[in-house]
Amino acid sequence: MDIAIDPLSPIPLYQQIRDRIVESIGRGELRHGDPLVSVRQLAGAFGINPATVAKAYDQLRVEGLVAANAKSGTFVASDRDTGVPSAAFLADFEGRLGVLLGEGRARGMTATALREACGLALSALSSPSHPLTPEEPS
Amino acid sequence: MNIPVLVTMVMTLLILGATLIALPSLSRPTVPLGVSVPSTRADDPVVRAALARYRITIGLLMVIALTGALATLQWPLALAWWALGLLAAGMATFVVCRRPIQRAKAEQDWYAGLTVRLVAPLSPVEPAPVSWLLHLLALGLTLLSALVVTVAFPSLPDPLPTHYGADGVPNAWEPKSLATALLVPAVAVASTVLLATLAAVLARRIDPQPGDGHPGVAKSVRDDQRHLLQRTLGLTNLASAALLGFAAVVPVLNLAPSALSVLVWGGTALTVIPGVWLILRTARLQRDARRAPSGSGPESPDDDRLWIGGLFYYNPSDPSFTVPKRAGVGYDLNLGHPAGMAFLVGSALLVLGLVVAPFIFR
Repeated sequence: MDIAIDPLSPIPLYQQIRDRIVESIGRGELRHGDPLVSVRQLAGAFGINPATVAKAYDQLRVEGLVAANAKSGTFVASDRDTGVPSAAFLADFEGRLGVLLGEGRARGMTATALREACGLALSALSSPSHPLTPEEPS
Repeated sequence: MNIPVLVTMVMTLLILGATLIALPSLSRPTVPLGVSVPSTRADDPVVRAALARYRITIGLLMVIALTGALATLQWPLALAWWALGLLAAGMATFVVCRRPIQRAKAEQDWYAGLTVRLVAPLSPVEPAPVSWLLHLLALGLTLLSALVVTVAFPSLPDPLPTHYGADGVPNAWEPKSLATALLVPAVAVASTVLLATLAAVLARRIDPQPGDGHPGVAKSVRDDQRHLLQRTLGLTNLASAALLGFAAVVPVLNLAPSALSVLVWGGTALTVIPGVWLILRTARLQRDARRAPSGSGPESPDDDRLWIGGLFYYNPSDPSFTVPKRAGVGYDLNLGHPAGMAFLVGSALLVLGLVVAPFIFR
């Protein structure tokens, strides 16, 4: 399993790494218990500061998507079959989704266009796409 | 000056020159002369012209070095200076010839509008298969040499010859003892184990994965290279074990000086073969990569600022001590890493010491 990040994007690298890992779990490419490479290995392969990778891993740990122990390193702790998420997560998720949908409306997207965009994003989650082919040319 | 020394000298300069000429063919198509270019520009006329100029200049330098070395045959150390000179001039040629590519890239903004990505494996990567059979054979050969020396110890001459001239005649002796007799076999065993350990460590590396516009092709080339490197390390270990094992049993064999001389020089030539094989196979891999249909995937980012002169990697952020070479096969030091800088300074002092020492202690 590979991930790709954009070194020229204004989105911070740690955020990109965190988002790509979340997407991989969401697509079902990573399952509960799957090991991730160490912070040092990933930083070495990207040629970036280990602190950047550590920040992404820390965030995922706080969110409960990955866990770490001394024996097996970092591994995936939550996946598509984890079951109903907590009420606190749902409230937070709906809040963030509300902001995103609101942004779409504010930019002039109609409710139909928003539904269509949601449908596309959802179907992208069920068909595992190769992370090396960018979704759209930027 | 005898024939084997002359042949070795000419071979050294020829191999060095040929490697310098082959350098662009051993590198990824997207880093001609160490300049990052998008895969769509790898065959640009500017790139072709720069590569042709580089190759012709190196060819001329090689002729000069060979002529010079033959003209200064009477000084045994001159060869080292001609080889070092050829290397230095080769690097200077590299740095000068890459400039037009850099200029064209900047002026025409080759990366404008292209998608670039850094790619890395998120899941642990299978280690490359280590050629354990070859390493075990090598270890077996060196252990056998130790056994032969131990068994034949009572019949060995006293004093024991410990060093031979290029013509195969001994020129240094030590009082006979088990420690003196087993010194060379011990070095042979130790070097075999060291080389096998190095192979095992390299097999576990996780390297950056270039996109190069065609991530699938770039990745399969990188994987094939990992396998090639392991095979080469195994073959090198076997060849050097054969040579060292033979050196270990020389006092037992009691050969004629001329036969010994031929065998040792032949054996030394043998150890070069795995390296030459690696270079040829790598050139073929990269040629196949060049011929692959162009992809529409993301390009590797322009990382020229991390490579001083396109030759030396300096990236203090990168936790890696070594990175895959940009030009050629194998690994380069990260001079931004404290250990990388220490290693460079250490080896520079060592080379300087070896070149200067003969002038001080004569």
